[in-house]
Amino acid sequence: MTLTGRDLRLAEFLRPGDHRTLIVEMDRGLMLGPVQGLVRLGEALERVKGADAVVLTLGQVKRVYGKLKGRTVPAPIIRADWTNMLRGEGHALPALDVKHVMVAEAEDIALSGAAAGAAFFLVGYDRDRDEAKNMEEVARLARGCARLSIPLLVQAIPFGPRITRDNLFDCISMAARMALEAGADLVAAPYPGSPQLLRELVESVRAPFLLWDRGYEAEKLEALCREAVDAGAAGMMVGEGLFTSPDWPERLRILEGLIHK
Amino acid sequence: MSLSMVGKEIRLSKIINPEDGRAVVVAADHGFMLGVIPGVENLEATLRKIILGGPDAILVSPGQARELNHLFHGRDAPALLVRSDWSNWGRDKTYTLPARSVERIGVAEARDALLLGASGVVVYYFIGYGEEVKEARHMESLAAFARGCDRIGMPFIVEPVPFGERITGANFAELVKVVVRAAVEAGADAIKAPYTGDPETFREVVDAAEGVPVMILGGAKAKTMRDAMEVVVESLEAGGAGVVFGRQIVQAEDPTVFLTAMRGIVHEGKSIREALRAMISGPVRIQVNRNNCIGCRICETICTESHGLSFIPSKARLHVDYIPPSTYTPFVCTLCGICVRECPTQALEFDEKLHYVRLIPERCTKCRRCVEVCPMKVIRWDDVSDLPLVCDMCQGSPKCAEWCPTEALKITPYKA
Repeated sequence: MTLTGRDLRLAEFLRPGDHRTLIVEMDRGLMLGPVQGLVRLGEALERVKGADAVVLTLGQVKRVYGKLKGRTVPAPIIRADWTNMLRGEGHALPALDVKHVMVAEAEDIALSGAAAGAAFFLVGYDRDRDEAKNMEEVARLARGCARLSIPLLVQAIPFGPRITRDNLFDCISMAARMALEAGADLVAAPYPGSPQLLRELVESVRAPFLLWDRGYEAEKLEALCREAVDAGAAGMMVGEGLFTSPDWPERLRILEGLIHK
Repeated sequence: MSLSMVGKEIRLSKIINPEDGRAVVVAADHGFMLGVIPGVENLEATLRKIILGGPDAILVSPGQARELNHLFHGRDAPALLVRSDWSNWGRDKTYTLPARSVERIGVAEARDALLLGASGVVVYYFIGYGEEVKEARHMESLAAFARGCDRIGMPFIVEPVPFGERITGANFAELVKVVVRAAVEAGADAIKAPYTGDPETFREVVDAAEGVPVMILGGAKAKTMRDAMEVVVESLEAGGAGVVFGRQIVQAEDPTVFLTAMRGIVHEGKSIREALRAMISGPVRIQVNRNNCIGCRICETICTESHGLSFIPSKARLHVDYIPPSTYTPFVCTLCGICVRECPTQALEFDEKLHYVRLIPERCTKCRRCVEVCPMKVIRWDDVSDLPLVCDMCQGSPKCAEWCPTEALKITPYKA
């Protein structure tokens, strides 16, 4: 099985100079509905210059691919799954029971010309069989991506009442390791609680590690970014909260500067 | 818009710049078709120099696409194109074991290109085979390959080639049109075709492609850089989408400089003059090749014009001498510095950065010593301004050499 295509695609967003990356999630419409700052996706795409890659759904890629052409634009990463986990208390219809399903296969990602696929591996489900199902889905996607030399990014995220301050690090560490063993080429996970724990997490994940944050608090995002770089992470993955600031393109440039200095 | 069409558009945009619809591509698959030819012995070293010149894409064989994959990593790297077939048609009598019958076989499919991370594949389409069945089989293979590429969203570039005994100077242009159109009908996403030789017939080829980008083949090494550029410019003016250079670049003395200049012409709207000039930075001198001088005196004319006069050759800061019956010899400033040394009031000095001679009018006592001592006799006295007319290399970019149509005057780097 040749890895050459995988490496070439990875290099589309993991810069060969510093092996770091800044990825922005622009796929939340699928999971949350129209999100502030992302309602006009095409326009947002024109301004997201500081990002190395953007996560998009297949449905949107079919519409906005015109903005993904050329060699100076962020690389597209395809959102391969859906979950209601992100719909918290503030949402019109918060999730009562967290679910996870697949919405794209490796072949779809390959067809679309994207640089990689992205999927969640969630832990903290009430029922163990839901965790097993999530793992089965990620593993199948990983096999499919490997067959087509498509890199896979897995976001390992603990959620729900079973996750506490005390077990947070262990849960992130477990989920990240499982994602890697299933075949992830990059792993993203939330902040484990302290710079020291972040360093331990980065060291324990033997693949490029990205710190994931939904990006709602602008100041916190910058501080997190600095910590991620100091801990040896390969960069950051920022969610829909980034776009709620009217000056988000500048904020993005600052993050880019911190990661790629 | 289906996903595979989206994939094709995104991948193709890495090869053909979406801003101008053009590409500068390098073909480096000669090792596969011809064996070791000069330039490909150490392909990685050659490609590294080429990549510094900024091509949009590089074509290599499947084996090299795997071996040299690392050269294509990163957003600034060129796009990877994979050669999907092999042929012996290039092996003429100058090669060991020349081809006795032209054969062509497929060696990689769209899926292989996908696994290699390629942005596109290149495939031949030949007409002119001795046996008609071969042409039929080639079309059959091309069509099946095309469908495979469509299914997987992989752009394919067709290289249509009329070849063989039945192709003549008279029917060549017409046949290029035929094969280009056939390639379009088979579904080509882009085409690299031989230049027909003149803009009118090439315009017909571009029209026959109905919007599918048609790049020209760089072809065999041109005599001068200017000649190579002129062909490219002609094709662009006739609607061409750029150029695919092969041996011309792989065997160039300085592929980086060559490519940078071509990029200037194809993507940056530079004129040939501007592109040639940009190839050299720093202090320059004018190299004279008197065998090329045809006595057109454009140099003398442009010299006066660029110094604010209107076409008065007798006031030029260089001169072309006529030696009957048919020889012309240009005389230019050679930066010998004798005038600078001999001026009693230091009214002439060398520019610190670009080393051309500059007159400081306030210091001139009008002794005319400079006119006397110039060995090339290119310093003249101007009665109107009452000052010497001294060559200043047009402040580092001599117009005479830029405009010379035959490279009798050529800008070259000045080395002290």
